[in-house]
Amino acid sequence: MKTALITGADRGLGLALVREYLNLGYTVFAGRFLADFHLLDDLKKEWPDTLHPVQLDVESRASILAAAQEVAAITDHLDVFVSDAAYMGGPENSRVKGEMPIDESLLEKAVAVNALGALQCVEILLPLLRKGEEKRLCIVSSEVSSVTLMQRDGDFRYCMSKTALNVAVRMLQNTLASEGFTFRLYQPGWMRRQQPDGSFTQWNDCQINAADSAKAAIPIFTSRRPDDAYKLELVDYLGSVWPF
Amino acid sequence: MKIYLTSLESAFAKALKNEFVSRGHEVFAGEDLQKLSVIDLFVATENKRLDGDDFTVNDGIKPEIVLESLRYNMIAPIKALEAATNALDASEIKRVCFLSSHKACVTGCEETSGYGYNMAKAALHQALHLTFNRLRPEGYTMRLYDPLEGELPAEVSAFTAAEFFLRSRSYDPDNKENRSDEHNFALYDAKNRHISW
Ligand SMILES: NC(=O)c1ccc[n+]([C@@H]2O[C@H](COP(=O)([O-])OP(=O)(O)OC[C@H]3O[C@@H](n4cnc5c(N)ncnc54)[C@H](OP(=O)(O)O)[C@@H]3O)[C@@H](O)[C@H]2O)c1
Repeated sequence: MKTALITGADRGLGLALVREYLNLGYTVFAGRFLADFHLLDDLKKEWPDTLHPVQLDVESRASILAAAQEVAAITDHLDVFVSDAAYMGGPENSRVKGEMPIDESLLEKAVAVNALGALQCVEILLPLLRKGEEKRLCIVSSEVSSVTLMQRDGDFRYCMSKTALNVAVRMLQNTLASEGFTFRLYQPGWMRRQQPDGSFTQWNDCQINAADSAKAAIPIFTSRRPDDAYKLELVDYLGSVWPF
Repeated sequence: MKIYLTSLESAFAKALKNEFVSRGHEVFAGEDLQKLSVIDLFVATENKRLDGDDFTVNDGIKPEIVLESLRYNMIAPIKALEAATNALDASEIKRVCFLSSHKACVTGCEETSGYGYNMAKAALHQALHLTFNRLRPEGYTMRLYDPLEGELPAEVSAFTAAEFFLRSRSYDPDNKENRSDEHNFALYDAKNRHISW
C-alpha cells in the first residue's frame, strides 16, 4: 500500500492534490483544518476506503502529534508528504512606512504556519516516512519566496515566510538526503481561492486553477532524477525553474 | 555623518562603533533614537545564533527557539528601521544597513542546525527586498552584509563593514538613473564576495 499525507486539504490545491494521489492508487491522509468546509467529506464518499481525513493544524505541535498517531493506527509507513497548508490572510500591515505599523505577532504567525508548520510535520512524521519506500517530501512554496525576482514593494509577511520555508527545506535536505529522502519545492501559480460550496472566487490575474496545478504537480512530485540527492530547485506549474 | 546603531551588544557592533568614531562620525546607539531628528546612516546590528539554536531535525525542532530568533534577528531590525524612518527621511543620505549570513541563503546553506538563525535571516532578506523596492525611489540606499563572525576578527570585519556602509557603489554622475550598483539589492560578505540567495 502506497501512502501519502497532505496538509491544508480542505480546499484549493491541497484538496486537488488529494484527488490526484487517490487516482494514483494511494491511501491518502488529508489534513483538515477548516470547520465550515465539507468538500473532503464529499470526496470521502467517493473513496471510502482509501481517503482518511485527519484533523491537522500545522501551527500546533500537539495537533501534528495527534495526527501522526491517527495515521500510525492505520499504516506503519508514509511514502509521500505534501505540505500545502498556508496562512495567507490577515490585514495589510507588514510594510515599512505603511498606513499601519507592522504587526509583529502576525509576522510570527506567518512563519509559524508557513515555514515551521511544514518543518515540524516532517520532523514528527519522520518515523513513518523512514519506513516508506518513496521518501518523497513535496513542499508547496511560492513565486514570492524568490528573493532574486521579488519586485513587489508592499506587504512582506507572506513572502518572507515562504523564503524562510525554502531555507528550512534546504536544511532538511542537508540532513536527510543521505537516508534517501528527496525533495520538491513547488510554485503552483496564481490560483483562485475555493469557497465552502466548492466554487472558486473570481480573480482576473489567475494563471491556473487548482485542479490543473495539481495535475501539473504530479509528474514533478513523482519523478525520479539522478541528481535528486544533490539538488534543490523551486519549480513552477509550467516546469520552469525559479532562482532562490 | 550621524550614524545610528540599534545595539552595541556584539563584539562586532562595538568594533564598528569604534571604527566610525575613529573616522570622525557621530555615533548613537539604542535608546538614543528618540533624541535624533536626523539619521544619515542606520545600522541594525542584531545578528546572533541564539543559545539552544543547535538542533537538527533528528534532535527535534524547537519552534519556540525559531520564533525567538525571528524576533531577535528579523523583527527587531525591521521594527527599528520603522521607528527610524522619520529621522532617515530628514537626511540627504538615507542609508540603511543590515547584517546576515550566507548560511541563510538557500543556495549556499550547508548547515544541518541553526534553523532559528537561518530562517529568521532568510525572512529578513525577503522583507528587506520588498522594503528596498519601497524605499529606493525615495532616495534610500541599502547595505546587507555578512560579517563572517567567528571567521574574521571583529576589528577586521568592522573595518570592511565601515568601508562597505560608507562608500557609494559604482556611482556614475553622468548616468545616475541607470549606472549604479545602488539599484541592486545584494548581500556581500566581509571578503567582498557577492552571495547568491
Ligand atoms: N493561491 C495562489 O495563488 C498561490 C500562489 C502561490 C503559492 N500558493 C501556495 O499554494 C498552497 C495552496 O494554496 P491555495 O490557493 O490552495 O490556498 P488555500 O485554499 O487557502 O489552501 C491552504 C489551506 O491551508 C489552510 N491553513 C491555514 N492555516 C493552517 C494551519 N495552521 N494548519 C492547517 N491548514 C491551515 C487554509 O485555511 P485558511 O483559509 O483558514 O487560512 C487553507 O484551507 C499554499 O501553500 C499557498 O501558499 C498559492
